[in-house]
Amino acid sequence: MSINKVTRRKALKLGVAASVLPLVHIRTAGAAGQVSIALWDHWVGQGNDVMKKQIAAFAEKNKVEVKADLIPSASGQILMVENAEAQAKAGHDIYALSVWEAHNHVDDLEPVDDVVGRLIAKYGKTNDAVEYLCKVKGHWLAVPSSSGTQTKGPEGRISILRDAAGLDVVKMFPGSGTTCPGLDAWTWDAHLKAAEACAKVGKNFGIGLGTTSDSVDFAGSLFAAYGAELVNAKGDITVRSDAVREVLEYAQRLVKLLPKDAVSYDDASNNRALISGQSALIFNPPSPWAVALKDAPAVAADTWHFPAPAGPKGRFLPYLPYMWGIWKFAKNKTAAKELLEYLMQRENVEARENATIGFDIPPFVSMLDFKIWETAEPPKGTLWNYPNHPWHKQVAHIAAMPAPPEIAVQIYNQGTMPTMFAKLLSGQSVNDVMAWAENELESFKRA
Amino acid sequence: MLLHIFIQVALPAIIAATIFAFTVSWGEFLYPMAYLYSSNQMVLTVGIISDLIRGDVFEWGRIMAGCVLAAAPPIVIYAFLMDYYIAGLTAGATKG
Repeated sequence: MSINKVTRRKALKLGVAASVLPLVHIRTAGAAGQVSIALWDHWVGQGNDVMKKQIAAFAEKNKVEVKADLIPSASGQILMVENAEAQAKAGHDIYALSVWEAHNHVDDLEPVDDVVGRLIAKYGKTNDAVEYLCKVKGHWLAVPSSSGTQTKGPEGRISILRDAAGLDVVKMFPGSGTTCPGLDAWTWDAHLKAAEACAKVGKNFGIGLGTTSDSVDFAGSLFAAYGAELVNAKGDITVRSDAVREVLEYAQRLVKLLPKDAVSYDDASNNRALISGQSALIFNPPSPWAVALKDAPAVAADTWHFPAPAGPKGRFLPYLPYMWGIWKFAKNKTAAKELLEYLMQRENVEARENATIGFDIPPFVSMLDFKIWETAEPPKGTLWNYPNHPWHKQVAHIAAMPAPPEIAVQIYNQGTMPTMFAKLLSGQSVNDVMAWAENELESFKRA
Repeated sequence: MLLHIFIQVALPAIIAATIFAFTVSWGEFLYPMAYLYSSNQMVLTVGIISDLIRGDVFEWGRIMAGCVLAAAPPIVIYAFLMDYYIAGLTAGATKG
């Protein structure tokens, strides 16, 4: 009778064999597991098609089964599903997060320093707003995405601005090249003068004083240009400052020139104002221009995008990033990271950019030279100045930055800045508005 | 007995309960929004906003057409079954 004795040598051999086993497997579709991704349902359908093709190519190459769902942002569906998944600790592996959402889910997101680190090493730095929103306590909690990321600079009617306000925006901000001859002259004071001139001919600037993001982003850009912070980076309330007073005094003059329904503006109101031909200028991504191409071609052909005006402290461009986070409960984090890195490769970003007619803004400055912004028409070059090119000397900015994000998100979502302007319109004094804001901010700090 | 007595007597209540159940299901918004994100699975209430509002672009013509379609079935059902509905609501409410 033989006895199978397990010797130390045999146990070692067995261990080595077992550790090598995962390297010897059959590469079939789905062999490397499954991964699911919730994508923002792009309003330009072709962008979704290209994204899905890219994901299918990744799945094929890496033998991963990828389930991709497009989730609309209308009525907050993307936020609702996101929070349901975070609470249930179940759902997609990767989720498309908007502006403040990485900070809202600090404890639910897997750090992605490795992925973002490699992307930065390859494509250079992102802008400060991306870092402020995606990075928490020194760790990247989300991979900045191009899909859905937008800037909200001025979008104006060429003929009205030229004839009523004497601003030839095409000459000031040419549709190609790396210089803007009119940049220095384009200040908030010039903006006010132009708003006054256009209001005189019944083409008021379509700037809202509501609490939705377009109104908030405009106000944020104006505040930042004057160095006015409601709450500073340390979390101190700084509303009673000369800079804030200066902004409010400017706004006192501006609000009188805005449309009568400015306080009830939502994010569609300014689009309608431009497309219908009632407004000379709005602050928005190029979605109204894209709609006008179909619904009001003459308006589209007369629309030009250009940088934000500058104030005493610089030129600040409203910037709203989307990002991709990996939940901590994700079942296949390795594949999720590989997928995100793949989707953010330059050639993939550019292919999606071409499909979305230049709407999406890549987070890496080195990717701001895509041809689509130069070739999009009519008129040719209208989108060239939509991204934040280095020669614009603009700072990508989100309203309420640099306040600590837990306070900033409340300032943003409550629309504190445009509400301050709306109160000026209702006849309240600058001092009254500052006192009201101070009270609001104290409650935000307590929350 | 079931068909000729019980169902006959309970018919207004059954129809009223059916109408209630239909109205609640037809107008459901929150749960479909949380659980469905594919256009071909979407219920009308959520589909109208998720498919016809794209970012800050509203397709007003199609949204209004969708609203008419969404409103039509409850209107038709209430119009034709109003007598049963009222009878179901008031069943047992009056004495004698």
